[in-house]
Amino acid sequence: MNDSINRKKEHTTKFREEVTSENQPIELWQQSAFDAAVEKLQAGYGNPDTVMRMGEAFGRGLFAQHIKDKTSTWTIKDWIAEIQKEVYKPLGTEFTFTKITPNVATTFMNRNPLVQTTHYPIAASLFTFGAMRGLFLSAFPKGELLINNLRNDDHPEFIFKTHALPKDKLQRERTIRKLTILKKEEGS
Amino acid sequence: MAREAFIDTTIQKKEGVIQTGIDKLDRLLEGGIPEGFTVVLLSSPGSSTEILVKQIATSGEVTYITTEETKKEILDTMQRFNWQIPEIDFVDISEKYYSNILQGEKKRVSIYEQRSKLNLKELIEISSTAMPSTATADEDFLAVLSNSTKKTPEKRITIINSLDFFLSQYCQDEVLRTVFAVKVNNMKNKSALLIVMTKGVHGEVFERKMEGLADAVLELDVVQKGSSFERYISVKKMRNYAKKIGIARYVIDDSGFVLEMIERIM
Repeated sequence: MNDSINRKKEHTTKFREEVTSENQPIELWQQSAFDAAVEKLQAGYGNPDTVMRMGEAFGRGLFAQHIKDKTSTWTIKDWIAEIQKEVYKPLGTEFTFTKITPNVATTFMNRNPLVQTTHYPIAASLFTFGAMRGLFLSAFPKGELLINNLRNDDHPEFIFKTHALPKDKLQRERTIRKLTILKKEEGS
Repeated sequence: MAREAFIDTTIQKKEGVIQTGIDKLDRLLEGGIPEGFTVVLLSSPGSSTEILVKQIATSGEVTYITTEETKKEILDTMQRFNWQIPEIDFVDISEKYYSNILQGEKKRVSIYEQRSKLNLKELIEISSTAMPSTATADEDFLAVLSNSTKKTPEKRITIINSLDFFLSQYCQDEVLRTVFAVKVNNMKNKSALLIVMTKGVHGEVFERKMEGLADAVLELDVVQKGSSFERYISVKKMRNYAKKIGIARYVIDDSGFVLEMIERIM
């Protein structure tokens, strides 16, 4: 009897582990999300906004599944520490933060394997921006992610603001527009 | 595993189910989608799910909630396939989303233009804000989704193409809550709700939650075989209808979505 209960318990635990597994390799997940974004871009009416949206959805998914403590009152410093450890380290993405204040953080992205290994680097940049934005807005819904110096593709500067000004909210569309050329280069 | 070739191309209309308008798909589903069912269409890149849902939308009584393409783009595709287009009730979230963005930008430009015509004194007077205020995409699209499904009449198909949009704008829990509300509305209306979601983007945990919430799960997949690709649609889940679990190969030709062979698991 006890044996049967134990077996059942073991089975239930295993099942639960499988269902709520947070061990899906982030790298593979990122690749499949990015592939889906590129496919959507190449489909009939795909546009660059779709790539960023898929990135945002992926970022929100990462936050939901890999960031455990969502009830805490986030500070930008906490968020950075958590995201670096749980998301960007496993993905092999490297940042250098040049400034961290309670409301603003500035960083350079030194290494982004997705951009470096893909045949669609511009789409990958857009997707990465979207993923970072999704991750950030999940923790700071009133915030915004800005990007500086788009010409310096290898090391763009990102600015995370926990409380965005109305003009900051246009940054997303500006980033897309600056990269609109990707539709011509990488679209159907 | 039982195999079944298509001999008849038409299928008898059954009570309690809503036909998709694609005969062979209805055959795969043993008559159609049971009334009140919420169906999740898990789409893999390259599986052309968008063509399938557009073809289903031409089947008759349909509400089409679009986030990926505008109404015009959808109608253009339908015309390209020469499908007869019935009166479709469109909820064009895509158009709303892009016009909100454009309005925000337009407002910003017009304020700049106005300011450029002012003299220094006037400029100082209004310079309390460093930048002109702008309106961006701040409409609550989840509320739009929820409201538009409340109003749908009975026994029709509602298509949401796709959930990806909402998952890029809102946290997963909020989206799940809204989908659940939409599902309840659909049950009350005895309609069929089709929700398209791209596989592999939102994480395994979320996909499983959606599969758990759905009454039926159809998965569209592409498999590379040598130098060619084969597409499959599988019925992964069908609540209370185990017999319907099956898989079929399909192609997209000039007429649209064409199923070739069904394999039943049971």
